Amino acid sequence: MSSIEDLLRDAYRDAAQTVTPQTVRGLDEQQVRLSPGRPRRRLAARRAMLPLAAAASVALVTIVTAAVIPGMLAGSRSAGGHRPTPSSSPGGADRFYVMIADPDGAALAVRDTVTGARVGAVAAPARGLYFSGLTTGDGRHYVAELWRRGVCRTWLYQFRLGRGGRPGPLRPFALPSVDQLLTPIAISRDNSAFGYEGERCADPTGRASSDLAVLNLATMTTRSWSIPKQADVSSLSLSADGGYLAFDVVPTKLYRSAAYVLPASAPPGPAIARSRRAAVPGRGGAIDSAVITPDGSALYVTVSPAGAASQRRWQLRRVDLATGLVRVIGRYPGYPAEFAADPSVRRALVLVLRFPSTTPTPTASPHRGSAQPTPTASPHRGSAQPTPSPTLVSPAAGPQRAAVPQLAMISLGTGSAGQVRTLGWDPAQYWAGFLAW
Amino acid sequence: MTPSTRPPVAADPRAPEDGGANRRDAAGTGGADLVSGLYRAHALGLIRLALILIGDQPTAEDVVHDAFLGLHRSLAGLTDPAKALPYLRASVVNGCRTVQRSRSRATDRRVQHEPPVWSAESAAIASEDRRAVLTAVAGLPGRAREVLALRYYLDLPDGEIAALLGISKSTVSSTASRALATLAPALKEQL
Repeated sequence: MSSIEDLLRDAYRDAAQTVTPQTVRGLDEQQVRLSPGRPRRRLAARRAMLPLAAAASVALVTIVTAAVIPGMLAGSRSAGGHRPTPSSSPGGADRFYVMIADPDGAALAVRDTVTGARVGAVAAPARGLYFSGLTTGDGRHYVAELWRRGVCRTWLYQFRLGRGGRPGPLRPFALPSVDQLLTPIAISRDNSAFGYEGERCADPTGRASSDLAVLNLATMTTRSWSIPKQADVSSLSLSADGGYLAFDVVPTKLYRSAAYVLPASAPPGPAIARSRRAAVPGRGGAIDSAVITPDGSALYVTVSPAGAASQRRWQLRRVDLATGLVRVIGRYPGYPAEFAADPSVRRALVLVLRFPSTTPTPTASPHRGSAQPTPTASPHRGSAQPTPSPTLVSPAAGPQRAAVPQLAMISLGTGSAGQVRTLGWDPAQYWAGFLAW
Repeated sequence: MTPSTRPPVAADPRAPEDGGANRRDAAGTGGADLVSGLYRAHALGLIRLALILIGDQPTAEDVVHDAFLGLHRSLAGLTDPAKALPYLRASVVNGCRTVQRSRSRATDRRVQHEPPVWSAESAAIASEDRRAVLTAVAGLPGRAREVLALRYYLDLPDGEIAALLGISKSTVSSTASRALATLAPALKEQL
């Protein structure tokens, strides 16, 4: 054996030893037993039905596959080569997601992303209060917004997930209530900042202007920026330390769709003017949601193009905020109605709507003013006297067409997608912001 | 990674007569247990192999996870459980190759990647000499890097390397010889 071979062996050994079981997320999370695999023939048939029939470079996996190696999926990293961030939930709490369980919002359910099983529930704190939105920063501490019919006020409660996804008691949040209708909301991973868009609901018959706000939970000081009533914010996310707020504006008559990043230290004023426009959909499409990475270096956006709903392929894009470079992570059929990233922003749960090709194209959604096939909005949105309408159908007049909603998990690093089990709940019964992970 | 770039596991002429039972088992609970066991036993090693080939751990983990997902998809065609590990290794090598290709395209668009563990920015490897060796190896053609890693990290015999890479044994040998000859001047100071 020559010396150069010794050098190679030593160098390889040194490089290999930089990877340890402790630095590989989920490597020791092997307690979940595997589900049986499917014969190839059945897999092929199933593949034809999958909502996310992947593009050439996108691996299709079944939920059984997703359930196989939870540690593997837990370990997928964000794209773009950012340094691995430590797991925010070393006990595997990001195996669980929380959703509004009932169509009327009377309870929350905690579900296992691997098995689909319901592992816990949280009831509304009082009769007449209904859950309307959820957020989490670290996958353990959840903040829920609740509303009461005919009242322009939002109540905020919090709870923690314990071992095995069991929820703790529901307690009032540091900001117990706001005299606005909030949606969406976001909390930073270090739980130091809480962001929200609050609608002032001054005019119950029409749309009101909103405030985009970030509450510093240490000092309990709020900084807010105005959102004109013609603009509609559909998603919010905060960087891990709450230093940056990312939001997207859906297309309306006066505003084009775009994703923005707003420094939490920006002076008060118009939110859009104070923000940096980070992404645009291009060619008549719409950005449906935007999630900023914990380190604030990148933004993941879902983009749905214009065109016949049944033929659409939405895109998952990654925007490098330092360089502005945009990378398409994957293209998937359908419409991304709900997008919830895990605390480390390495994976996302996406509720995808598929529209049958034989049915007519849906007409404009009432709250967006565009031809986007949208999920039913949060039940109280735009009015102090909301009417919950959680069932997912085309909101426009004309032939009603039911979309086929399915929950999928996407690796934000590779774009690979798999269908997630939704045991015991109907994905058709939901509204925007119904899910947090 | 596209699993189709390498057939999952070809029919093994040495398969026992109850190969059909094996196939059913592989696709069933036994197969799932097989994947689980392989993951417990080999995930770390495969991530390390991928790290050596592509340089950074997050991408290495992604590649290995895709390989296991590919294996699980291919369980129905798995005739011999003993071939699962070679399949995984081949998947990892192919996945790393795919990553390298996409990176070369991305480099044209000035997309930044995680610095490799042997880079000065990473400083994950303390020894300057070892970093120099790996930096020199990183400058070799892809095939040569794969051969060297399989030969000197996994200590695979040339026959297995040939089967894994889909090339002849003599090609493995000549590729390794050329790679070592290329490295020698660069590593003269360490020798």
